[in-house]
Amino acid sequence: MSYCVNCGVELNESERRCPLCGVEVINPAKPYSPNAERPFPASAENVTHRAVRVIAAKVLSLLLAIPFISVLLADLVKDGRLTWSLIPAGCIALFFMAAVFPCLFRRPRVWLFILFGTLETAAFLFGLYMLLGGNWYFLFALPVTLLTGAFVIGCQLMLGSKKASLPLKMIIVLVLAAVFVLVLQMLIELHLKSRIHFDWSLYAAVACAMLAVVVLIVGSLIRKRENVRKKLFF
Amino acid sequence: MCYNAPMKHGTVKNGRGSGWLPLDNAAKIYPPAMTEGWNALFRVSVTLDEPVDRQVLKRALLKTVARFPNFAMRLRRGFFWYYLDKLDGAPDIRDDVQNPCARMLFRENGGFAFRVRCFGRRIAVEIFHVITDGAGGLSFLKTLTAEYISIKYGVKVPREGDILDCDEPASAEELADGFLTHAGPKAVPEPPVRAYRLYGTPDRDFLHVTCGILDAAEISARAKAAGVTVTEYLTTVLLFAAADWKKARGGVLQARRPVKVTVPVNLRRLFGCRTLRNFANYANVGLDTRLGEYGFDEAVQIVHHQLKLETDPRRLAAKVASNVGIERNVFMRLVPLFIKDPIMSIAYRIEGDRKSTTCLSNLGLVKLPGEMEAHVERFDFMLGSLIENPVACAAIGYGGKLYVNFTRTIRESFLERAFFTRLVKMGIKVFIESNEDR
Repeated sequence: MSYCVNCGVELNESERRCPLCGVEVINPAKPYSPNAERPFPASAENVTHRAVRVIAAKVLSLLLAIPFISVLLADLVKDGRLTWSLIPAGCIALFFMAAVFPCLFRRPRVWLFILFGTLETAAFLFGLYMLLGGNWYFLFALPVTLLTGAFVIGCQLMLGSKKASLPLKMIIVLVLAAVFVLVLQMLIELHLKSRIHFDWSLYAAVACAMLAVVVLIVGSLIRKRENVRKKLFF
Repeated sequence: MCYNAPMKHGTVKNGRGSGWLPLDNAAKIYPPAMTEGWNALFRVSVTLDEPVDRQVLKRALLKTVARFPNFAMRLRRGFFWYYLDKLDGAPDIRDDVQNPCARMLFRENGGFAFRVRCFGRRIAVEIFHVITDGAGGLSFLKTLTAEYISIKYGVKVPREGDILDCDEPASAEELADGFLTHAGPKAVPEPPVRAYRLYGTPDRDFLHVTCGILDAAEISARAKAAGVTVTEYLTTVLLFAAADWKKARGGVLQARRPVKVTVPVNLRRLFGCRTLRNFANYANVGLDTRLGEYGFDEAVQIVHHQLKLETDPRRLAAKVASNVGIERNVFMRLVPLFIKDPIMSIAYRIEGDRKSTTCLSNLGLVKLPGEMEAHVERFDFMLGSLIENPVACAAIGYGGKLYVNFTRTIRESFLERAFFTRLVKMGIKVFIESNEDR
């Protein structure tokens, strides 16, 4: 018989680690044997939530197929070729892809969904660019889409982090937001006026930076709350 | 009107489960609350002295299911309420799995709302709460085991207590909704006090089971010395474990909430009822750790008196009347199920088990006739995952041992560690086994 050195309980022979604290069982007189009789079999019942996701994907596909086909048919019947209907049909396809893609995953991987959504949006805008012409796609639409995607993924990864403390998360998100607005205005200015100039984005960036400083100070005060309590005692 | 439905719908006319049954008052909440990945299950199992013969078990199961018409039922949707509809035969016997009480898909189970699993010498029955409660489930398992032993060894097992005679038909009383017949004259709902809630890293698709085996005589002697029952003694230890959790893991928003343990109360004994369906209510006992520290001897007395107050038959009848009142409410009855369903589901999620930190269900000491005792080594009882509370505890005693099963849907084993190590510190020997991955 083996005992957990940490918990003091006697353990079944099939336990390699104490189920209560996770400490490994080391008993030189009776080493762990993987062939020991176990209270439960090794195979587990696979619990999937696939059915709900599959049903959701099917219902969504059916619902979106109706307007998709309707606009294409309406355009085709009236003009004999596809013109304006490509834009609403593209929008529906964009929404469909964004909604159905997450249904393929058992666990939500938000950063992957955002990345996929960003690439999809870029592809949709490229389709519009091919349809409408102009020089707005590569110099403006694509960089803004990628910038927005990168900003949202950065925020999501930061906020979902288990290692960083809440004040640190907030500071990094605020810094990211400041960089985002500055680059956004730079892209707008470059595209419209072919120059680099910052005005409104500076106000937003300074506000973000000031908020980050406040969070930094409050965060450090929280760590030293005993001192604060002492100072503010009444 | 369907309140005394079992007597009207032919279910007991021939005692073989023809007809249908409206859900009992306690069962009504479970179908709306269930999802693709979760339903309220519990499990009772018996370990025999020899490997289980599946052919014999199948024969025994067919006879037992015929004796328990509420088990030979399929859950169906009516326009206003769910109901149980007659089903022939019995479910197939399945292999046991590492993660017991995993969600039950009725379509994979021949429509039945319970399943029978086999592993070596063990027979386990996992039951959806719409059919019955722990005491009804134990009666089913004991009758199934008696039938199995009778067929396998050719011995005549005396049918007494909750071991039923499969040659007799089910009586009207056994299939009646005890809540409707024993509701008190005055409805007094439980005050909505929110309890401290345990939280951890969720692992909803795998039920972690940790079984602690204690010496029943030792625990019983300790409880007796303190002047309380074994359930009260274990509840106190569990309350201390929950209080340790609160102290260690805290939670700013929950700091003001007391730690509370729900103790299911079998109403059959209190009201002299023999129903095989759900007939239990709950007592919520707790320690308000905001008021200060409690010594174990003080706490055990507090729990004893709280449970005494909570299990006063008049008080329980008033709580039952309150639940029955909701069911009898004209608005509730006239609203179609497709509207009622999401409302009840949300209400259960919001209020379901928020009044308690965890749960301790003790089925008590199992007594068997000598003919069965010779072949039965052990009984186990465990609760499936609860809707919100991530850790539950269930106990059953047999053969001089007390089997305490902790089941959880979070990775952290803090509560059971605090529970069992406290017992060890009190000088009680604890033997542990689990279903953890090696």
